[in-house]
Amino acid sequence: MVTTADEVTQAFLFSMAANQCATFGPGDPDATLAAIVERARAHTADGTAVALPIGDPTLDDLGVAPALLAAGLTLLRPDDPEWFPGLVVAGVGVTSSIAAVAATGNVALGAGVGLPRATSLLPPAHVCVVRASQVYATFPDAISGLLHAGPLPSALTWIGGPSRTGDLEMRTTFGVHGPKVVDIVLLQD
Amino acid sequence: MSGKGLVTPGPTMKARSKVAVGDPQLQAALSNLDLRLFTAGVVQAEHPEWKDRVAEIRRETLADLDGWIDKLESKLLSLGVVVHRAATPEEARRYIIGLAQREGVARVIKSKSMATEEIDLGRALEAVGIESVETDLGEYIVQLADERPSHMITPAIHKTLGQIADVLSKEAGTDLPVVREPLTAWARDKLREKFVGADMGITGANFVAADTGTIVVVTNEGNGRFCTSLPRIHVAVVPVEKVIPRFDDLGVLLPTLVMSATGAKMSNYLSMVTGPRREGEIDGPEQLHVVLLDHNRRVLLGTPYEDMLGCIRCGACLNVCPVYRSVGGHAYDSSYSGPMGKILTPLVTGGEEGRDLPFASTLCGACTEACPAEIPLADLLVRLRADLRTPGPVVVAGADQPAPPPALPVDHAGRSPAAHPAARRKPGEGYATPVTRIHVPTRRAPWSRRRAGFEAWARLWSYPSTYRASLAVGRLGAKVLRPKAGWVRRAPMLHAWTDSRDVLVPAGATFRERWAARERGDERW
Ligand code: SF4
Repeated sequence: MVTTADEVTQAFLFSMAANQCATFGPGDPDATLAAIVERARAHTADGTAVALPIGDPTLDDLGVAPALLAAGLTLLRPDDPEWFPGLVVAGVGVTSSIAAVAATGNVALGAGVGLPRATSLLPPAHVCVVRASQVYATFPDAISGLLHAGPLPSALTWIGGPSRTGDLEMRTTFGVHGPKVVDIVLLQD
Repeated sequence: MSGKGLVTPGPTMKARSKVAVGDPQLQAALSNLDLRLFTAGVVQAEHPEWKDRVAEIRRETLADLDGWIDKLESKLLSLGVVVHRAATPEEARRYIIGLAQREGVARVIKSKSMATEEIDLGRALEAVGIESVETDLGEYIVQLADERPSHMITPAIHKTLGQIADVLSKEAGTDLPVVREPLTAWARDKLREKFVGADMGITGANFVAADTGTIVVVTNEGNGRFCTSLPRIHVAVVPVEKVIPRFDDLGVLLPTLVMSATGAKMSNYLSMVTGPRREGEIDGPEQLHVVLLDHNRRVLLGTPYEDMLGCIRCGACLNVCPVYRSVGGHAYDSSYSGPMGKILTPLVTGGEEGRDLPFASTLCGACTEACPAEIPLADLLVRLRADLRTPGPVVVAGADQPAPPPALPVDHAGRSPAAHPAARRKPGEGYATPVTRIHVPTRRAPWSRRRAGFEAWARLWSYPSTYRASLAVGRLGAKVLRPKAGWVRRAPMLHAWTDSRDVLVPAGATFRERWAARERGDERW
């Protein structure tokens, strides 16, 4: 059984890695920001854009938008009238999560104003920033926690890792409809 | 459910099973089920506490299903969801097609759903000229092959990789390699074109929470996310028993469902949709419709078949069933296959389909043991066999039942009945058949040679002396008859029972005799 916060964090990173995610951290805000910029750069090496929400508290606190711009990357924001067509050809979507689970290895994303559902769906890669304080030990804990944290968002999306299927002779094959690559960047807060 | 799209055609399950066991490709494909043979057992060994909790939640729901549906409906309405109660598949189809036509929908994208399979929605949409695209990879393969899914979790389990490559290559117009990754990549690109620009997404729901109005769709591929995020209209087809009392119940229901279905700790994606897109949001459906489908389910409440409505559609009973594993899903010729399908099909079709299915069982009980919702599948099969001897529906609404209660359903929100959404419903919009709880005793089968035979057998084995004597006679008889092995298959009158069996040479003495000899000090034992 996982008990201390540190154990929960380690178990979370282990589970995400088992789900075929690349994991980074836990790190302080500077290290986290550096990891986000590095991952975004890697996923957009072909000159594609980074899709980034507006008004995401975790990403705003870290200063992700200015850091990505300073790194010379192209940003695509939800207030852009060309957001949707842009998203279809973007290289990566960067989001934060509102909860995560150590035992099962998944992160929960909430939709909202400035936080479109498709950011983590259409681009081939997804970088998700997770605050260590939001990692629950088990799935039932997270469900209860979210329920008591306030009204549920219109869309609550749980993600385990890269898109996969078991439909071909029951063997796991990756990269069906959703992102083929999921990077988890853990922020020690 | 007309026998369309089966790899194993035939008029009866027995005939279809014969075709199935003689199809080497199908047998090769079905051998992949071995990967899930021990999944249910592992779940129960690792999480023994889940089973009781899941069964408890399901029983709590079914004990007041109409009440929970009303509570759910009020919540959905308050979120701005349009709720439609459909008593029959025909009503559900009419509502959805009407909506699509009114809204000028040209293309529908569908996420895998047993409920839409049950109401044959895809074909109905195509029949009125609306393109309907299955987006789950397995469902897509099955749709391209013009077949029906053969497994509720893995719809194309009846196909080998080679056959899948053939189906996809035909659609691609070029030869795709028989390798999983490139086949998947091709389908990804192809279906991307379909996702973008679809006007309506249709999903089922694995669960719908009455307290928050949250619709839960479980997928691994991400197609469920597309169907619930991109189109401007989302329709969820929800059989009434999918309601659960509380969002909090998902904490145990989802891990149980996913692990029983695939062995994974959690599915790759869970979409939890609480109402349509909100003010200021730039994606998500502008309109969200929930079609609550009854289709002969509520009439089962209060009968011994009520337990069947506790099913969470995990597919565990299919994976462990010796019959399913030998013949595959198409031999059942029904939307639902395997042990749960044998029970659910004659019940929800009002006895019109699948009447021979409950008889295609060894009653080994593997399904009952595997079921994470504690549904007594083997017992229900036995009961159904008896009840199906009488023609017509298994459970009849109205007949021999007290008059339906005149008042509107209980309002969990504590409002007066007139304020209840049901009061605003136009006549005919709600469910036509009010349900009262009655106990339906198993009908006693009429006199027959078979029944007389079994009764005589039961009497014979009720006393130790006659039991022992019968064994001695049986041993002697088997010894005499054994040299002519094979004759038993052609035995007159009995051959339905004996044509797949043979007389075995019995042991020299029974265990009891050997034990008695040992107790007497006979060294040979
Ligand atoms: S009857 Fe039980 S084992 Fe079978 S699908 Fe339903 S819940 Fe799963």
